[in-house]
Amino acid sequence: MVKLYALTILYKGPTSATALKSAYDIDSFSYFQRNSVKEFMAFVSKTITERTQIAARQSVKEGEYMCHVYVRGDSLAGVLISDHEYPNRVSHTLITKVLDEFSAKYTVHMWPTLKEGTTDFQQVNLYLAKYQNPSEADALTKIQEDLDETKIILHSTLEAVLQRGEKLDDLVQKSEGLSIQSKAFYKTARKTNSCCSLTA
Amino acid sequence: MQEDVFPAAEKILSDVENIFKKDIDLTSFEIIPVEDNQNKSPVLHDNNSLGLASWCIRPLFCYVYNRLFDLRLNQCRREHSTVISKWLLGALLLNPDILTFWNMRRQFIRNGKLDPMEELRFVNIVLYYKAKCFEAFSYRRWILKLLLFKNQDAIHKIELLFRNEIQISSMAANRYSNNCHAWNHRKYIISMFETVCISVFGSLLDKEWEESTSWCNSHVSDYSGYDYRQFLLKRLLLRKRRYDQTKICSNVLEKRRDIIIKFVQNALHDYNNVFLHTNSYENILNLLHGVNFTKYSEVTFEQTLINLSYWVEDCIINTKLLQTFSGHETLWYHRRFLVSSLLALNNSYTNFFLYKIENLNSTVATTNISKSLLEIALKMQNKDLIDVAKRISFIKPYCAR
Repeated sequence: MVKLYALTILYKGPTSATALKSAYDIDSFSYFQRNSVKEFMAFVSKTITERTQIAARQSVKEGEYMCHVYVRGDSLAGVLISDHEYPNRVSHTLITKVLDEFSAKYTVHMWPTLKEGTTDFQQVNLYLAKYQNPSEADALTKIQEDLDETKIILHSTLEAVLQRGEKLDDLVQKSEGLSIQSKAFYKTARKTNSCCSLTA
Repeated sequence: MQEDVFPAAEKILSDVENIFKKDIDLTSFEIIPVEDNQNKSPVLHDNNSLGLASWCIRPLFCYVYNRLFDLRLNQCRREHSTVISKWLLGALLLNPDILTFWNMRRQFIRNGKLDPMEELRFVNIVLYYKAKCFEAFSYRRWILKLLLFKNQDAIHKIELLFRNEIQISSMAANRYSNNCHAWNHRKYIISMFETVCISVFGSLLDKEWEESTSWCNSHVSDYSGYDYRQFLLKRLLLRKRRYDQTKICSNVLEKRRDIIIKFVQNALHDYNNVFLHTNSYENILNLLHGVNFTKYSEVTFEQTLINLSYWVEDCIINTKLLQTFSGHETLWYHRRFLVSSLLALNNSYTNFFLYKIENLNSTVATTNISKSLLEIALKMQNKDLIDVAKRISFIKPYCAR
């Protein structure tokens, strides 16, 4: 399936990353899972941003999902969670574009103090909807190909992105952003080996 | 057995059954992982969604399973049908792969203990949870046939039923990738449409084609969805005037012709545009198929041109998808199908000046008519289908028996 699930803009501070704005498209998950899916995607976005160096791009495959991250030189970061069939090139173009527009609206010194609830940046929702069809957005990506000199680092699992000695299970257990319900979901998904997210 | 004793089971089952009865718009069922029971009811119902907490699943299923098989082993111990159907509901909701239980429900429908329409709603929910369950689809088809034979006069009602089936198979295909049972179900329904509601079949086919186009655009490695598309394309290529007897709308004809012209122009840049725009359909087709003259005068070339345009349209879409999504086998398999059908089309046109089912049979048109469909066709006295069955029987004696 060619699908985008979540687009998040984050600020990578010296110790941790904070989400500034996010958009989700998770209607394809069943009703009682949606909340956990959302929490988990937020958790993954934050975790992966914290483990990506400044001015670097990464794409991580986890089961049937892809997680793309780009941290700019000025510590503004974007994370896009998509299905693994969604073209990587388009994903990274989308992140670049959204971050450009965001930094045009909010200046650098505001980022550390912005709160997700009060940030007004509706474009994330619009872009998430528009880019569901990658061929429609593809005209833009052709230009992007020559523009971008940053290499995309590819990883085959989420574990591969973690720092040495870290375990995903421990991070999930320790996380404050995940409810008890979501942690239970994660455990079940792990047991049935259906990767980090939670399809039936 | 220890598992047989689960005092809360009857209460949970009643709760679930009541939700099914009360909430007509119920859309989903799922199991919610919960660490321990926290002394709360495991049945959750919110926003037309039903959830069961995971801790109760195992004892609940063991309970209903043992009860039901006890019942079948000693037939003498009688239970009321409402109690049994409640057990069946619980058992099939959790594990719909047990044919015995579906058959027990079939018996209940036959005896008038269960309402077939309500059963269809129940199976919706089962399919939401286990989207690739063959038994559930087959049960649906059994009910549909029953309804069809019961009230032959209300065609519009049956049409509504069929459209609902198409929606259900869409849902199941979205919930489970490469869901061949869902797409086969859809094929069956389309064939039913062709047999029973001929008047709307033409417009339905167009609508299905459009829907399949957008689906295949976003599911580039779902081979079952592509198989369904090939099924549709075969129908469209062999379309004749019989579905909608009215004259071909000139708008449609022009639109479909332009698809072909654009395709030819893209392929051959130096081609003479004027020739394609001004020439008769007959000449265009002859040119495309490399035929010099036409012998038959009673052939409708307009229809053949429209049929061909679907092939062209699909070829353009496939090319575009191959460029956008690299490395997807399904797309290449589909292209292989397009090539082999092109050969068959060309072969058929050079011989008959239209696309014929017999000619396409070896490569493209394996239009098997199942025994049950033929049964319906005979009952409904659908001459076209019986005719097709007869013609196919020359090639494949076993399939129209």
